Amino acid sequence: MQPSEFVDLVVALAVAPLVLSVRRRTTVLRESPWWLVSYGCILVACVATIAEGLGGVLGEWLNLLEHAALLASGVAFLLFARGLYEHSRQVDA
Amino acid sequence: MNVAVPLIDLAGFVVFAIAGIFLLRTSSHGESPTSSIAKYCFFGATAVYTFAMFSNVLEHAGLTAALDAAEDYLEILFPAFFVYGGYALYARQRENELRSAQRVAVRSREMMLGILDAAPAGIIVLDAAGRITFANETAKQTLDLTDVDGVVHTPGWSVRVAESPAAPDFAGLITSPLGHRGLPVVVEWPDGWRVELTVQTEQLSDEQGRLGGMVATFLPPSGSRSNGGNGSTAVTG
Repeated sequence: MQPSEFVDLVVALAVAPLVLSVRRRTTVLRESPWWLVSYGCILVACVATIAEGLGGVLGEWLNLLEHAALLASGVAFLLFARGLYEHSRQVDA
Repeated sequence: MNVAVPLIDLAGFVVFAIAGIFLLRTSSHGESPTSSIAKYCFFGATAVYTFAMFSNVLEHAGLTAALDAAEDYLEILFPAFFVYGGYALYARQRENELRSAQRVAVRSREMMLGILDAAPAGIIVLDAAGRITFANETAKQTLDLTDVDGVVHTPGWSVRVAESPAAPDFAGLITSPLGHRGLPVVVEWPDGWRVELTVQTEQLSDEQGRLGGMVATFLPPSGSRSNGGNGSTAVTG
């Protein structure tokens, strides 16, 4: 396990309450789950990275989980970004 | 499984890159829920993982692992970009709400002013010292008032409330112990023209509950300076 991976997880966990708080107050973020899902997947990826670094028989599966979680985060972020794009287009029209 | 990981990274690279393109094309003008700050923070967040995935793809392809160290440290920026973008969205929402409330307030004010100006009674608002801060059209005509940039100017008349001494403003109304219904008020111009009014008042309080001013209403007299009176008296009907 590299120190940077541990720092990634600590920072992501430290910011999580802020993410929840901002989501609760913001209508656009409350209306769509994808912003939060994207962050959740990043947290899963961070945890999988650390667990993988600890070694063990599940190492290969944890590596796959890490990369799959990042892909899932990307898909969720894409859906969120598309929602923002369409919302702004509707307002402009 | 070894084949799946590079494919997943390649797909992740494409997906994050498309998300970034959507964000760059998102409008941040006018009433849009997205501000420029939110847009570029989210773009920064997608750029971090687009770079990370690109670095992974290069590593899997055996081209270079040189970007790997930078990738590890860049990933720390993702939560910061992510939450700051969210906060910028919240700030834009508040800004839009305030703009909307301001529009409603302006519309309400214009409607109220329209109602006041259309009223057949004279209506004046006085501050705590008895100076006129607002007058509707009927009051302006009756009392010869002029409104310059929101400041009401009198033609130099004096006001006597009931038996109080003459004053250059309506301070007598503020201090009058006679109550607020049917107060006799005489307004006298320097040239001798007089208007006798029967005034109803309503006190206004400030935030601390102290007397902050007064609203006074009266029926306009039958004759006025503008329709031929000179040196005579007009009396409310």
